[in-house]
Amino acid sequence: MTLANAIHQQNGLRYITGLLQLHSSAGRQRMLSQKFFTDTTGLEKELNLLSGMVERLKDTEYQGAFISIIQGLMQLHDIQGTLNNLDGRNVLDDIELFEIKRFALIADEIGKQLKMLDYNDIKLPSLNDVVELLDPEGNRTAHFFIYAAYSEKLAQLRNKLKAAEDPQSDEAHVLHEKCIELEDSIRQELSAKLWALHSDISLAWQGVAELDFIMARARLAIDHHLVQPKISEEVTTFKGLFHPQVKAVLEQENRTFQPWDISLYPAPCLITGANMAGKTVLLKTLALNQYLFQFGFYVAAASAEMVTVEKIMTGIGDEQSELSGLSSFAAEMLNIQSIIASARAGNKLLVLIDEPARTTNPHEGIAIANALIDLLEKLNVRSLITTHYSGLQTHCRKLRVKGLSFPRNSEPITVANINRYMDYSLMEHSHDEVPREALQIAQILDIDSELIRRAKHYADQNEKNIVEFL
Amino acid sequence: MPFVDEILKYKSVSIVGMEKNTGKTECLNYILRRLGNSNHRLAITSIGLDGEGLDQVTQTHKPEIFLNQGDVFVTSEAHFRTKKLDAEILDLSRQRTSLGRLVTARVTGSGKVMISGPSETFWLKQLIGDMDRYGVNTTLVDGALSRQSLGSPAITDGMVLVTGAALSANMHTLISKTAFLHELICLPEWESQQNETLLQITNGLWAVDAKGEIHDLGIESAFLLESNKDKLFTHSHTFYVSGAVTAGLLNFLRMQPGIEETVIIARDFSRIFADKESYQAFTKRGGQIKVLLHTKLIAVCVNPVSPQGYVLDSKQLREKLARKLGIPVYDIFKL
Repeated sequence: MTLANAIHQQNGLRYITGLLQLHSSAGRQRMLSQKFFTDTTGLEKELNLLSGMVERLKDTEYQGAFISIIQGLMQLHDIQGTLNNLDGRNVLDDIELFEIKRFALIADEIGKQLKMLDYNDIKLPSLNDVVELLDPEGNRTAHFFIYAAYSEKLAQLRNKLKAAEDPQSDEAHVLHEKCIELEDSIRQELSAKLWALHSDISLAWQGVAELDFIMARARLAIDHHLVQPKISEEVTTFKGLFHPQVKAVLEQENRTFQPWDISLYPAPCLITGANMAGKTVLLKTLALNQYLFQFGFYVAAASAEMVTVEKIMTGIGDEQSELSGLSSFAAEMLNIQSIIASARAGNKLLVLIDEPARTTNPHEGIAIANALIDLLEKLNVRSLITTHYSGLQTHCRKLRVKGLSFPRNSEPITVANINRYMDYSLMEHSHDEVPREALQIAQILDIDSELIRRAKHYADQNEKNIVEFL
Repeated sequence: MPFVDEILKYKSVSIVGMEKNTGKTECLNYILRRLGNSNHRLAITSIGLDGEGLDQVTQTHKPEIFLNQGDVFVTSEAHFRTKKLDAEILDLSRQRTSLGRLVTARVTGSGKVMISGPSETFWLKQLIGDMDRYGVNTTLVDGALSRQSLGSPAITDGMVLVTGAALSANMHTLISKTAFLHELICLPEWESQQNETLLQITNGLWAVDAKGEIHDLGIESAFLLESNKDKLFTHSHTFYVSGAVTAGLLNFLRMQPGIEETVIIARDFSRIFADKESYQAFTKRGGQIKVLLHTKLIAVCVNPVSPQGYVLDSKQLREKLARKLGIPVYDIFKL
C-alpha cells in the first residue's frame, strides 16, 4: 500500500498530507509513493532520518541553508519524461538538454547547501560533469543551445552563414543544412555522454525528491506538535493523543481539545460513554495515527509507543463507498466479515469499529456484538469497539468516557458550552452498564420538547416493566 | 518610419487582426524588420485561441515570423521544434498550453519561427513582466480577437489594429465595422481602487455601489436576467460584467428604469460582443460602458487585398478610415 492509496480511504490522512509544505512536483510524487512500513527495522530507520531533519530544522543556525534549499526546490521542474528518454537511450533535443542542464545546476546548488546541514542520510551525487558538458562556455547560467564551442567546424559554418549576403540563396541553404547536420551529431554525442551519467542524474532527482518530502514531514512535525513514536513490540500506548484536524477546528473557535491517554493490547477493548463524548473521534484518531506512524511520520500525541500492524481495518461509517445496493446492515456485516477473514488468515491487525450491529434490532444487535468481541478475543486482535448496548456479557477490557459533569451553578448546558462540561478522558470501567444520557443530550440539542417528554414516558414505562418482571 | 517610432515608447504592444488573413503577420514582420537593426531589444509572443493551434500545426501555411539575431521569442514546444532559426533556450514554463509548454528563447541566428503563446491574459502579463530579465524593451504580442479565447490582447500598453478586405470587400461595411471596433477600443477606463479585485472575478454579474463596494448579485450570466430582475437594482445601477457583454444584456438594461445612470464595467473591449445597433441604442438612452483594461490604439493598418483576390482602392480606404477614426492609417503593403 502506498500513501496515495491510503489518502483515498482516510479523510484525516488527506487533511494531514494537505498540510505538507512540499516545494516541488518531485517531492509530491515521492510523498504519494511513500510505502506503508510493516517491518520495524525499515520504519525505525525512516523515523530516525526524520528526527535528524527535525533537529536541524529547529536549529536557527541552519536557517539560511534551508531557505536556499527551498528556493532551489521551488525552481525544479518535472523532468521525469526527459529522464525516461535518457533511460531509453534516446537522443535528446535542445529542450530536453536545457531541462537536464537546469536541473543539474539547481541540484548542485541544493547539494552545496545540504553539505552545510551536515545531514548525510540523503546523498546528492555531484552533477558537475553534466554541467561541464552542457556549459562549454562556462557561463553557469541555465540557458542552452548547441554552442559553437562544441565544434570548430560548426563555428566556421555559422560565421560563413552569417556573412552570406542573401540568406535565401542556394549557398546559404547548403550552409544551413550542413549546420543542422553537425548540430544533430553534436546532440547525439551529448546524449551518449549523458547516458553514461544517467544513474547520477536519476539519483540526484530521487535525492531532491526525498529531501523535499522529509523536510515537509519535519516542518509538519514541528508546526503541529507531533512526536516521534517509539516502536514497541506488545502494547501501543499514547499519552496526550489528539486529532490534529479536530484540534485545529476547536482552536479556531477558541476551544481546547482534551487529549486522551490510552493503551491498546492485542485483545479487544470496549468503549462506552454518552453521545457526544467523542468516541468516534477517538477511533478516527487512532486510525489516523497508526497510518502516520507506519508511513514514517511523527504522530499526534505528547508521547507514543506503537506496535506495527499489517493492516488497519475500520468500521467507522465513513468508509469511502458503502457497498452499493446493500442495506446499511448488510454493508456493515460484509465489512465485519472481511475483518474476521483477515484475522483468521493470521494478519496482524488494528481493528476499530464504531457501534457494531447498531443498524438492527437491539436484541440481536447485542448478540452480534457479543459474538464479535468473543471472536476478536479468541483471535487476539488488537481492537477498540464502541457501543451503546448495555448488558454485553463479554469479559474484555472496558473503558468509559467520563462524560458530562453537571455544573454546580445554574448555567444551562447548551450546544455552545457542552464542551466545557464534557470530560472526554477515559477511565477503566468494571460493570457492563452503559450511561443513559441520550435524552439529556437530546434536550441540550434543543430537540422538540414533546418528543423528549414522550420518550421519557416510554423509558420510564420500560423500566417499570423490567422491575415488575423481576 | 511610420508608427514604428511610436511603438518604441511602449513596454508591450499587441498587433490585433480583425479577421483572419487581414495581414497581421505582414504587419508584424514589417515592425520586426524595421526595428531589427536598432538597439531596441524586442520580444515576441502571441495570445489567442487555445486549441486553434492544433489545426494549425498540420496546416503548412501557418504564417511564420522572421526574427533577427538578439530578438527574444516565446512559443510553444511544438512550434519551437519546427523553428528555422538558431536560438538559445532561456526558460521553459511549467504550465502547459494545448501545444505544450512555452519556451522562451533568444535568436542566435536569424530565421523564421511560428509563434504561439499563453492562453490566458494573466499568464501573458507575467511573461511580459519576465522580459525585463532578458533586457527586452518592448514585447510584441500577436493577438487574436475571439469569443472562445480566454486571453485578451488588451493587457498590453499599446495596440496596432489590422483590418482589411478580408473583413469585408465592401468599403463602406469595412469602414463601419472598423469604426465600431475603434469606438469600443476607445472606451474609457473604469477608475477605482477595486480594479485588481474585479479582474480576479471570472464569473457572474456584480454590482458596484456608490462607495465602490462590490456585491455579488447571484446572477450567473446575462441570460438569467429576466428571472432575476428583482435582485438587479438592489445596490446600484453600476454593474461589473465579468464575462461577455451581450446584445441581450444591453437591450434588457435599456428598457429598465434608471438607464440614464446605468454603467456597465467590462473587462476590456474584447469582451463586448454586442452588435453596433444594440450598443448605440444603449448609449443613446444614456447608458455607459467602461473597461478595466484600457489599451492605447497606436495605429490602424489596412490590407486592401482580400483572400479571394478582391482589391479595394488603397488610397481611398486609408483616407476615409483616417478621417473617420482620427488616427493614422497605413497600408501594410505600401509601408
